[in-house]
Amino acid sequence: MPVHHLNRPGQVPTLLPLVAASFFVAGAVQTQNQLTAGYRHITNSDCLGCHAYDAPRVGPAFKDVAKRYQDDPGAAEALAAKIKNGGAGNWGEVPMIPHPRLSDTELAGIVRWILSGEPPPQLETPAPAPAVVLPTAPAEEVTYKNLITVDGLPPITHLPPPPVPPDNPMTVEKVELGRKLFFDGRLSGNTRSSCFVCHSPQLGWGDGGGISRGYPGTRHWRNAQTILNSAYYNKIFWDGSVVSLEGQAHAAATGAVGGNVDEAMAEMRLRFVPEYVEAFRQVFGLKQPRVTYAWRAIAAFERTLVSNPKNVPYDRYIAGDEQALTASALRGMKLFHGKANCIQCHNSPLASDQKFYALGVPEHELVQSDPLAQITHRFEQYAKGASLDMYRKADVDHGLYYVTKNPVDKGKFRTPSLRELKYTGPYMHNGGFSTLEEVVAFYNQGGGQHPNKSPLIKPLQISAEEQADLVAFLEALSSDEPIVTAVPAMPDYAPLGPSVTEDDAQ
Amino acid sequence: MKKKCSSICRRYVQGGVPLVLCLGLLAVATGCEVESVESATNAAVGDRPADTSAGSGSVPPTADLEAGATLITQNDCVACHKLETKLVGPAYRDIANRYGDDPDAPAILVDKIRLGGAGSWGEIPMAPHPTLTNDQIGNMVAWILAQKTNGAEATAPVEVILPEMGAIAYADPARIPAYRESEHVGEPLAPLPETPAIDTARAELGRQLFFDTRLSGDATVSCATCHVPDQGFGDGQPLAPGYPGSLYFRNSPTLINATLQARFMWDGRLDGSDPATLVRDMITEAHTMNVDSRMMQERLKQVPEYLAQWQEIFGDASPYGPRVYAVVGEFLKTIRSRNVPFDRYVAGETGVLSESARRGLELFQGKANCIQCHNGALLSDAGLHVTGVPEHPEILKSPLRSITMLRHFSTFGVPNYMAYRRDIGYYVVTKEKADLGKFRTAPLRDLKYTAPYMHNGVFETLAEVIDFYNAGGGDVPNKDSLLKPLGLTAAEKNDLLAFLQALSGDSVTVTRPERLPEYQVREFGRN
Repeated sequence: MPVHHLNRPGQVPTLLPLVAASFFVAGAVQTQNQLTAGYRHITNSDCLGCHAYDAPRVGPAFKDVAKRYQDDPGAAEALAAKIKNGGAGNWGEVPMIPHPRLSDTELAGIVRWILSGEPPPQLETPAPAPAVVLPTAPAEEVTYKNLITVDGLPPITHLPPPPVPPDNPMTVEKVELGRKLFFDGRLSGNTRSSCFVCHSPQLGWGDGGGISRGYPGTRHWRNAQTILNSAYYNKIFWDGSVVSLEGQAHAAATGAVGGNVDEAMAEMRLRFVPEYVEAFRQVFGLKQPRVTYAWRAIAAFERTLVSNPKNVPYDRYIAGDEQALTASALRGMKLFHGKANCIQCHNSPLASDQKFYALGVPEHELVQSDPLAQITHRFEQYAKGASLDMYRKADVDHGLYYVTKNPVDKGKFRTPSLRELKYTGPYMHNGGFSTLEEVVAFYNQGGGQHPNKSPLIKPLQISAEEQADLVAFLEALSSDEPIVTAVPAMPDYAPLGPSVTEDDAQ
Repeated sequence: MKKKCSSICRRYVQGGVPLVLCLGLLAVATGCEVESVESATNAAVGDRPADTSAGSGSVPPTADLEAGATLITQNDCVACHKLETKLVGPAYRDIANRYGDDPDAPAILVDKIRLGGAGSWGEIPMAPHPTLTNDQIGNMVAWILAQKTNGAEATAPVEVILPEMGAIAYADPARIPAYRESEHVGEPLAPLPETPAIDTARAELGRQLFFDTRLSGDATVSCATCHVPDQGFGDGQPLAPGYPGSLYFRNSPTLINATLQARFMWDGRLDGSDPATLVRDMITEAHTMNVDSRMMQERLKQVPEYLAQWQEIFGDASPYGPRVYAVVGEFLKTIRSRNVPFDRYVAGETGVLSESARRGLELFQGKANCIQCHNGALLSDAGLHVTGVPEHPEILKSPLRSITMLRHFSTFGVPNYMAYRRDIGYYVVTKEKADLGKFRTAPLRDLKYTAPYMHNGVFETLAEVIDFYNAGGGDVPNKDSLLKPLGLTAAEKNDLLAFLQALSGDSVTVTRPERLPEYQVREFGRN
């Protein structure tokens, strides 16, 4: 430090104590740094989606957590386990979502800051707002050097930019609005069940569970699918019951096991958030927010959550990077297109033919043991117009049948994309398989039992080693790092101003 | 010197009365000195080991009732609990009476105090108390459980109480002082009509469902959340809370005598002859219970204790929506005024009305002219009037309350609904300018239990209400021409108040079910 700074009036008295303090309480300074580092992990993860420092939101206030555990020597360990594994019961019935991908260092930092009871430190460099990148087509056409093609089937090439409906063009501002709304609980009945609750960036944009948690007081009956690359599906939901992301946002937000919101209520809530009023005006040219446009903004945001070929080992390999795949993954790639015949259905850039098949995936065991799951099974049969007989049994999810009411469609579900699988387990329409190994083993045995089972599903007779190779290949279809986004700050409500007179109203 | 409780208790213990209960009871009743349970137990039962095994592991065997009592007064317990009466939380005596015979009770209560939580007595969660030690909580629990009253004192559980049918004879018109016939537009004052036939089985099932939170979207609120039996079947607040995430913009009205009204809701939008529709609206509306009625139906199907009742009542065990609404509606019919002094006066018991109340009755029908709108058995003309009650300021201050108000206007198709900054009442139904701010004439029975008053709870006391009418009501252009300054003296206002108070009978309440009957796993194919 230049000496002349020390000579400035007023500097000396403040600097000397600082130096002395740092000498004597180096440990304390270290702790403050650690606390700041811990809080940074908080902002980098999704914690702020459900927690605030001084007031309960979906979960308890951080300072209340600190207060409860201040004298508990085992608290740090217990809290770290809670963050990692999730679960309910300490503060209420709403379960904490698990965070299996946080490292021990990150967990320790987070817990250290929470238990300190300190208010959030000022981060020197605030977490940068993620720049919205609208997917665009690559400048040059890609020449695929290592692509395997199978006659009559579209090969798995790079994902092009996702299709955008002509009535909902993408803009950066719309995507930003959609990102906020995606995390905003006010689009749910109890204001605590935003899209994010079942589609967490930290959990591969699903909820990490087999069967999804669903709205409080209920349980869902299917797996919460990843949002990643959902932009490419021409039919959404496992049974393909809607045909656009806009429709999906609406259906999930209003469904009794989803967000359970009344749209008129959601719309009115948006109108009391000045930031949204302004954003809807800018983005859509609306005088007041309208809930159907909220679904559009969310869909636009979701269309940015797509795999970038540069980050996916498989995509780098087919473009010519010979080192991108391991030997095992390479063997798996050949099996995928050959002996294992996965390519029959998992083809095209999305690694899905977007068609519907019955595989005989067993029903989830919760249907046998959990009253809430049973309630939802009956509810869904009833709501989807199944026959009385099916309603009376209500132990099976009939998939595509609910949409077509054609008996040959019973048990059929849409082929899911195989991209980003590394981050999106558990797998299948009911999350019945926790690992890709289980999924591969299931196909190797020729799937399960179902009268409508696809003739394409046959025992594969591949060895354990070959199964491992297949899994290595499947993982190579995932981005090197998970695709995430920071949790945006939620804009506040404000009272209505007296801007319009009642006389205008009549 | 005070006598040791244990010495008094010894013979009761030998007679089979649990020592802890005896100690507590005596300590409360006689102020005798409580010593430790251990020493008292040993003294009482000689060489036999103290029976602390039955689930009471969490209560230290050396429970010290006195220390427990001290801790309870020194901690925040008293903010929410009292010995005899319910405050925010249940009365200690009620807790003791419910759990007194349950061997698991100490463990349950220790956990409850330490961890907090809701569900045993209502939706208001108990605060956790993590800083208390196990021993401290154990002592507190021991003291609480010691507050059990013996069987004779404990009130028998009240289930559905059917109103006494025809207990009050129809009025002798001669007993109701004459009023100016020519100016009067409605019915004369009268006792409540006879109770219509009530299907007890339906009403009883309705009572259970009234308290069942699974009739709401997120399974956290029941009818009883906003219509609390001990709060006159309202909630004691000016404005009702509404579904989680929302705040409502009107007062939660009493349900007492509700099914006798010609109109439901403050804005009079529902037909009073059809309580089932009222129940349906409340259960399914987004700002009240917000449930998908199909989900409600499937939840109820998963509760075997209910299924038996559906079977019994309807011949098949299908709890579909209209049946749910009907049985809860049947229960509502049982919530009626009881033993009202005014009714007894009309029936011939002159002494039940004070001189002042009788002068109030004269004023009611004369100078104060309340009878113009508050007439008939309910003291309501079943009509709709603009009185100019001031807006509750909270509605515009709180975005959550403005939201439910404007959403309500929007769902009724009010043109340009975003422009309103006040409650427009019946206008939502007719869209006629004359109906702006029109509200249903509230019945005047049991006002003692149903404060605060008016559609937005803006008046805390009846005195304020009287002052409001004495001033000729509020200041709005389309105010009802019946409202004029009354020029009542202070003494006259007191007399009017005395009469209004004589319209309240015995407390009307109903017992909460002990617990929520649980879901059970069903067999497949048996649905």
